[in-house]
Amino acid sequence: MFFVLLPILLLYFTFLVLPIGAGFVMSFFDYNPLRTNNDFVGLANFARLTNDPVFFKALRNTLYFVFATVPLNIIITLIIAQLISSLDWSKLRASFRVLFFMPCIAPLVASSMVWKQLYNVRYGIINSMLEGLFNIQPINWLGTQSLVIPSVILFTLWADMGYNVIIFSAGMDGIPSDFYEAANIDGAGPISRFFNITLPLLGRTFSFVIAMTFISHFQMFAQFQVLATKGGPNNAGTVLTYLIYKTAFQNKNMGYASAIAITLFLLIMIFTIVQQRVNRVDWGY
Amino acid sequence: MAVDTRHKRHSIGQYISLAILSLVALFIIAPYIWMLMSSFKSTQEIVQNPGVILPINWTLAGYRNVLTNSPFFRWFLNSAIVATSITVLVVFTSTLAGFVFAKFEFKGKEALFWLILATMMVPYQITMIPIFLIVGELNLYDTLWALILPGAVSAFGFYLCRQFCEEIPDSLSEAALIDGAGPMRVYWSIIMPLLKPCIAALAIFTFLEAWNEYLKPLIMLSQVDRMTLPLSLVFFGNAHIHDIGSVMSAASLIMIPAVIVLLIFQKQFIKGISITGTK
Amino acid sequence: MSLRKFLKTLMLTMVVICALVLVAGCTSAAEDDGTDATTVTDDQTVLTFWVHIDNLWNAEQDKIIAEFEAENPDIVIKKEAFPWDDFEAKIQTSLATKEGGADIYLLWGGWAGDYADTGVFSPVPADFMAEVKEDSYEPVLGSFEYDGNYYGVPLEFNNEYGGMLVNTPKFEELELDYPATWDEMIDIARDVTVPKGNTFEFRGFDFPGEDSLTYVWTSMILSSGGQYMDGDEFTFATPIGIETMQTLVDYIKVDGLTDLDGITNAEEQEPYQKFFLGESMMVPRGPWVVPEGEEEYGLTYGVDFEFVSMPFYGADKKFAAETGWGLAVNAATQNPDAAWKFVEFWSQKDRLLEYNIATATIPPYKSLAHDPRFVEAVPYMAPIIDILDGGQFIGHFNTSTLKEEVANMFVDIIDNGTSVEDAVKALDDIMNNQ
Repeated sequence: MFFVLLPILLLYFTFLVLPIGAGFVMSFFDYNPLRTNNDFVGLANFARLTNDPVFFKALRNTLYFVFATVPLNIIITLIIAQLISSLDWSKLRASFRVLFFMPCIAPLVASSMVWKQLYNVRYGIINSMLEGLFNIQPINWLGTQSLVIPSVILFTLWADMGYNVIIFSAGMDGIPSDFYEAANIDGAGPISRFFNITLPLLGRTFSFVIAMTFISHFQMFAQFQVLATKGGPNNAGTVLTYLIYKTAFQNKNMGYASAIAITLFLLIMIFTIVQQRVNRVDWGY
Repeated sequence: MAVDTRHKRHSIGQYISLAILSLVALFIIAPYIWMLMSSFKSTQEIVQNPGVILPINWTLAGYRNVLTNSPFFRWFLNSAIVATSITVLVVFTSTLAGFVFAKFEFKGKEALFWLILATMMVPYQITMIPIFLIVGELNLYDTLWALILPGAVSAFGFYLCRQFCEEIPDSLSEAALIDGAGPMRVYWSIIMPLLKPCIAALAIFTFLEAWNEYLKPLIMLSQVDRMTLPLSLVFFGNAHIHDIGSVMSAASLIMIPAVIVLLIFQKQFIKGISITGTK
Repeated sequence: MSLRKFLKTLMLTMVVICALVLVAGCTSAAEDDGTDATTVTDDQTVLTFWVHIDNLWNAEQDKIIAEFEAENPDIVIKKEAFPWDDFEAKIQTSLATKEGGADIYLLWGGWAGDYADTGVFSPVPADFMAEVKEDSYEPVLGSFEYDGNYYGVPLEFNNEYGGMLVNTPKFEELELDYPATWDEMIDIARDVTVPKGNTFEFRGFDFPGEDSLTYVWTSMILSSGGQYMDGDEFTFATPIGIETMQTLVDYIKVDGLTDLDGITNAEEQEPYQKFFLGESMMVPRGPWVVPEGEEEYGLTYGVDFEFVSMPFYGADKKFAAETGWGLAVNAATQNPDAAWKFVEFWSQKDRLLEYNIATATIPPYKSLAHDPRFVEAVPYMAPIIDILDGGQFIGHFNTSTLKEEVANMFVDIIDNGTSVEDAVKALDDIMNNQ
C-alpha cells in the first residue's frame, strides 16, 4: 500500500543500508577492485591491524584530535554564546553571530589552503607575527611532529565554532529572563548563574550539540588532507579517515581500508553509547 | 537573557564582553583578510615578502588565470547543480518519509525507522568504498549523478522531519482526511506549510554540506570539467608548483559570494540553524 | 480510496522531479563533450589519453598528437590533463569502474607494479616489444614487466641520481670549482651553510627531498659495494646500509648542512624549488627540473645555475633507478589497434628524441641516449649519459611507498632520537610486510 515510499526506500537501501553491509563484508576480503578474483581472508585484515604501527598512530592521533578539539570547542562556544547573549546591543548580538558563522559556509578544503599558507615556516604570517612581536624564531608548524595536530586543532576550532555558537545562543535566548532575575535577587554571580541556570536549562540542546560535534569530528578529513599532507611528518598528522582514504584509493587495498573503517565506526558507536548514558538523552522515540 | 537595560547605563562588564568578542571576531576575520590581500599578489611576492599584508604590486593575474585558464564557471555550475539537486531531493524525500512515518501505521515501521536512524551513526568512511563501487556498477562514475543520487536521501533529514511531523496534531490531518482531502493534499497543503521552519533548516544544512563537500567528489569525479568547486583548488599551478596567488584568487571567488549570501539571508540562516539544536 | 490517488500523484511528482534533474544532468554531460574543439565524424575512432598537468610536457604531447592525427585522419586523440597531486588516484579509480577510464595513460613506472597482476592494462604486442626491449636500458622496463609480459612502453630513463643543481653565482663568488669528489662536495657544503635560528639562510647540500633522500642513500649503498635487496626481501639493515644512513644523519645532526623541511610534507617548495629561489648551494635532482627553473623561475642556465654531475660516495659508479614515465593501454579499450598505433608512433626514434630533448628527460633507448644530437641539444646531460650503464633497476615494488617510509624513518631518527640501527631494521620490516 505504501509503495510510493518504494523509490525513497530504494534510495535509502542502495546508498545507506547496502553500503554499510557491503563495507562489513568487504573487510573479510583481500579486496582490490582492479582484480577479478578477490580472496576471502577471514579475519586476516583485522589481524593485520594489530601489528600495524601506522594504524595505531592514526588511532592515537584521531583520539587526540577529537578529545582535544571537541571539549575546547564546547567550552569556547559556550563562553562566546554567553557573552553574545548578555550583550545589551541587539544589533551587535546578531552581527557577532553571523560573523562567527562565516567560516562554516566556506568549503573546509579552501579555508585549509588559506591556513596552510598562514602556517608556512618561511613566509607564513603567523611566524612573521611571532618574530615581530616576541622575537620568536620561525616554527615549522605543520612540519614538526608535535605541532601538526595542535595546528589542525586551532584551524578546526576557527572553522567549526559557528554552528555551536548559534545553537547555544539560541538556546540561551530561549531561557526566560525571570530565572535570571530571581537569581540576581538571590545575589548569584554571573558564574554561578551560568552553572545553575543556563547550563541545566540548555540540557537537551547541550547533549545534542556534544553528540553531533563528536560524531562530525571523528569523520573530519579535508583539513588533514591539506594541512597534514601525506600524513604529515612521519605520520604525525595521520588520522583514521586519511588512512582509510589512502589505503583504499592510493594503496588499492579496499579490504584492509574497510577493516580500518569498521574500527572507526566502533569507536564512534562506543562513544555515542557512553555519551547517551552519561547525558541520559532521549532521542524522542 | 535580554534583560531590559534601556534605561540603565551599560556596565563595565558589557564593555569587557564586547572587547573579548571583538578580539575573537578579529581572529575569525584575519585569515579572510590575508586571503583577499594575497589574491592580489603574485606567488613570487607571497613567497618572498613574508610579513607584508598589503600587496606591493597589485595584480589581477591570479584572477585572470582562474577565470581564463580554467573552466571555473563550469565548476561553479557543477557545484550549483549538485547542491541544488541534492537539497531539493533531500527536502522532498525527508519530508515525505517523515510524514508517512509520523502519521501512518504499517507493518515493520518501527524496524525500518531504527534501521534508517542507525545509519546516522555509521561514518561515511565505511560506506564510501561500497558507494564508489555501486556508482561504478551503475555506470555513473565521473558524472554528477554519482554525487546526486547517493546524496538524495538523508537519515538526519528523515529524523528531523519525522520529529516535526509528530508535533503536528493528528486532529489537523485527520480532519482534512475526513473532509475528503487526499493524503497528497494533506501532505502538500497542511503538512508542508507547517514544516516550513524545519524545511528551511534542513535545506540550509543540506545545501551547505553539498556545496562544501570534498571527499565525495574527490572519489567520484575525475575529469577536469566535471569537478566541483572544492576540488578546483589543486588545479592551479604547474606539475609540482602550486600557484599560491591563483589558489588564493580561486578561494576568494569561492568564499566571497557565500559570505554575501550569508549576510543577505542572515536571519534565515541563524533561525534555521537554531531550530536543529532544539530538536 | 483517496490514499491511492495520493500515492499516484506522488509517484508522478517524483518522476517529474527525477526527469528535471535528469535533464539538468544530461545537458551538463552534453556540454562536457563539447569542450574539445575538434569535431568528430562518425567514421573516426576516438581515443582518450590521460596525462598530468605540466605545461611544457603537455605542449609537446599536443604536438605529437597533432602529427599523429594528421597521419591518421581516422583517429582522434582526446587528451585530458589532471592536477599532479590527484593523478595517481584518478588512474586507479577510473580503472576500477565499469567504463574503465581512458584508452591510453601516461603511466609512471613506479606505480605500474601495482597494476601488473590485475590485468587492467593490455600487454605490449610482442613484435613491437621485441624492438623496444633490444635497445632499452634495464631500469626503464623493470616495473612494466610482469610474468614475462610487458604492460607499458617507456618514454624516458628516469634518473634521480648522478646530477645536481649548483648555485653558479655563489661558486663564482667564492672562486670554487664544482666538486669532483664526495668529500669536496661535503666540505663546500659545510663552508657555505648559514643557519638562521631554527631554519636556514642558506643551505649547503639540501638532499632530504621526496626522491633525493632515497636515491642518495641507495646510491651510497650500491657504490660502496652493498645491496639493499636480496631477491624480493629488503635488506637495508646491513653494515653498509646502517653506516651510510649514519653518514646522512650526521650531515644534519653534526654538520647541520640543512634540515628536514624537504620531507616533512609541510612545505610548498621542494628543495630544488627553494634552490631556484636562491636559498641553497647544491641540490641533487633529475635533469627534468632544469626547464622548470628557466620557465617558472625566470632563471638563465649557465648564469644563475647549472646542472652538473654529482660525485659518487663509494668507488663504484652505481645507483638505483626506477622505471619512469611510459605509455600504457587500457585492457578494456574498444580500439586496441588504434591505441597501440599511437604508442608506436610516439616511440619512433626521431620523434621520441625530440620529445626527450624538449622535456629534458633522458631517452630510454641506448641508441638515442648516445645519439650525438641529444647531447648537442641538451649539453648538461653529457655527464649523466656516461653513468647510465651503472643504473640498476630499483626493484619490483611501489616506489612511492619506499620513499615515504625512508622519509618517515629519517624524521624518526633525527627528531625522535631513534637509533639508526633500529630505524633501518624497522624500515626493512615495514617494507617486507607490504
